[in-house]
Amino acid sequence: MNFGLLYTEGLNLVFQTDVLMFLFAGVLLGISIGCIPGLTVIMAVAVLTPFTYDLRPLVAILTLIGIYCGGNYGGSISACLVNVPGTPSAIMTTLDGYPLTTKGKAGLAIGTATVSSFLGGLFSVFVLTFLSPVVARFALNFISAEYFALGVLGISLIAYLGKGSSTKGFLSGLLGLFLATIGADPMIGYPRFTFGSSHLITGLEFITVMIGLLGIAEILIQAESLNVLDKVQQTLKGIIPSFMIIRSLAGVIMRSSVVGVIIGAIPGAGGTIASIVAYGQQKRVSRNPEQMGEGSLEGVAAAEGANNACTGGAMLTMLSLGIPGDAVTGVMIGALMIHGLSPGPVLFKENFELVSSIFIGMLLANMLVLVLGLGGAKFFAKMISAPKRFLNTAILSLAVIGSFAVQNSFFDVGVTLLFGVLGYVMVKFDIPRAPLVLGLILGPLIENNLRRSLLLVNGDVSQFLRTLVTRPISASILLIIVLLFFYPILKKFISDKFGKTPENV
Amino acid sequence: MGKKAFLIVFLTLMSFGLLVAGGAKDAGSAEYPSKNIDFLIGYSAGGGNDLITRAIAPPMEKLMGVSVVPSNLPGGSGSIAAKKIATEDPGYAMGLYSRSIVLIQYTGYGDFNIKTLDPVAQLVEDTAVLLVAADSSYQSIEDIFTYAKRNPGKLKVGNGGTGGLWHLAAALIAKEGGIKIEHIPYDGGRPALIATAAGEIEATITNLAEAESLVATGDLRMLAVLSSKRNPAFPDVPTVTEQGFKFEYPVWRGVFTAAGGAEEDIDALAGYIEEAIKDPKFVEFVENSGLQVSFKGPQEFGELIEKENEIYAELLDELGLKVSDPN
Repeated sequence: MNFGLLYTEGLNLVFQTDVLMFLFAGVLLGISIGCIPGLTVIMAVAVLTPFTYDLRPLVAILTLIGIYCGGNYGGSISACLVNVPGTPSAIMTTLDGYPLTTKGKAGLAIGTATVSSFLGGLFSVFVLTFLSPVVARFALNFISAEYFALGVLGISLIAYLGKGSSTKGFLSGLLGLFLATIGADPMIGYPRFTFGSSHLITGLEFITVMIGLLGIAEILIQAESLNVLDKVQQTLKGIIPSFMIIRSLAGVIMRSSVVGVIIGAIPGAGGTIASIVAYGQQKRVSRNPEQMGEGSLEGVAAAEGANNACTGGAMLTMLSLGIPGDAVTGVMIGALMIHGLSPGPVLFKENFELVSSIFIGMLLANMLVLVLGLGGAKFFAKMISAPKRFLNTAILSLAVIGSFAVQNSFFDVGVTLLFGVLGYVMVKFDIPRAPLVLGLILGPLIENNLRRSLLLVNGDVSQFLRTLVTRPISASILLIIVLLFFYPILKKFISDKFGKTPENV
Repeated sequence: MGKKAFLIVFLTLMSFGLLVAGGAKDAGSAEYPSKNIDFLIGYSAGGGNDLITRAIAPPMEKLMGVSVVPSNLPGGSGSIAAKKIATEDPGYAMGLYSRSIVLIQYTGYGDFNIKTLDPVAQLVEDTAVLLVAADSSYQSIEDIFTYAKRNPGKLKVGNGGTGGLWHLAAALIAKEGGIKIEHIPYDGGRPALIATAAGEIEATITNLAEAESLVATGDLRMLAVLSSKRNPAFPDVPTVTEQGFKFEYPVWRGVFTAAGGAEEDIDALAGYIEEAIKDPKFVEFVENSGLQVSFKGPQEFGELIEKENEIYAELLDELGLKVSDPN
């Protein structure tokens, strides 16, 4: 692999007026959405994806990447200023960001968050750039049985890593797997659960489901409490942090970025888990752990570095293996598919300019986060108090238009609304929605590859299992699955035996 | 200021909504063409049909003296647009389709009947090609057939999806050649090609354009083009006919309009198409896409569609894939 090509291949494609314009708009929109509490990045990407269908594929994907990178950062602004995380992944940022604001250091808090976000994001793009072609090249030799193992690993991680009850996580993941079976059978073409309707033969339109599950549901939840947040009183000054401060935080940002990239790359885990882990880790290694939670810059840097580094990690598995690292990259897979591009090793082999352009675009998106974040913090601070009733009405109409636009079908609008209600119910019962999203995406991967593998050996299950355990790649994946399965039991065994709980974050 | 900020977000969000635009139409009268023509694309932007439609519309517009307006109406595997075309004035709304539009009637992908449309003209032809891994021991179609005859059901041939063009190509060859093969469906043509290169399956059939890059990288080898004439871009690859088999699998793309139009209007439209496909820019585009310009008029194209409609209804039934029948 010639690493020089990683950034040069796509240069001409990215440096075009429309590409840069949409990327800029995406980042701006992302930060705006991110900083408004209640509007999440996932929801924004899901609702806006159908509106990018008429754009060129590169413009479309970079707009979404802009929203993704900008949104992940934007959450920190409201976290620091009003103690409400603008996006769920900014939850850890509130712990130290808001105390800083109460001490009159709001500028410093936002400045630190911005620079940490930028550095975390930048680090993750470099990891993405240099690792994904290697992973993709490796994956090019994957046989169907190995893809099957990979899919199973993805599914098992969901239940393991999700927040809250793992039973509920399983339930949600299984529901996703079930929904993925709707449509023509991938091997014999027989319609399943379509009730004779030609609307369902191609399966549930992924984006349509996402708009409902993540977008409409959020609006329903918020309709319960449309209270406007207190006006932001704090005057922002001294936003650009000094070089000394950044240098003193360099180690923190580096550590949390590594955590962020790794967790981002794991399907099912996202920015929220990454920042919790990074924060916990920082608390352990910090020289002043007692200050964390009282307005420590280390805390802000650890949380923000990690949740932005997640983006590169999630993109890594999405681009090189076709397995989304989080719900947002899941929606991006859907968006790429609409343009006839299916992420995975084939994309690297056949459309490398596009992959390279995505790398460059992500680098630029992170730089824009820095510039817009430092320059526009005052503006975004004002946006936090935008009245929800107008905003949500606008989003609701966009959601309906968007679900219709996917394939000009009113049936899909119905699907969106139905999943909006389902999403609402799931939130009410504390059932996580991310496993459903991943189940829906991983379902076909698992099913098609399992059945293809069986077809290849004429249905001989023992031969299939032999292939699975004798190929080094699938064997290692299986081993990881087994270890993950027994880890909680093992952990309990150790804690019972030695009478103390191992460090758990 | 709070209001202003909100307004900016609101407008940014709403402006995304404007990206979705629709087409308009107006009424007309006698002489053909007497009003603008809608060229509907049943698939999303960026796909094969989309690109070809957008390339042929400008030269047609120049010849016909009215606007020929391409617009995408994706959904229902192309059937949404096809159903819309069927309800419009013949000759004033048309769409470009491939064999898939015949197939979806029977595979349940769209409740649609091809008889509601009249075939106008074939524009281009795609070359189907049979490929094996570069290091495969098969050197000719003969080799593959010999193997398949000795080992019924052992030969694994990949395709881009059950009931799709390439599955049916392989099924047609197996049927006519009297051999039994195992069809292995992949999630698209490219994964099937990659699997062929990796040795998971013995062979795959796909179109030339899709296979080209993997042939160039030395991963795959073309055994034959499923046509009676060699492809000018790959003159070294023999045809199936040369190798003594009759498995031509022309992958046509042609224009359809609503059924029941005046014959002279349809002939006139076909005439414009015949001229338009000679446009040097269109020819260049077609050749760069790995396709070939290949014209068939209303009569010939109509007979082809009628014949295919029968062949594939029967073949899909035999494969157990026929779940609906519009007739």
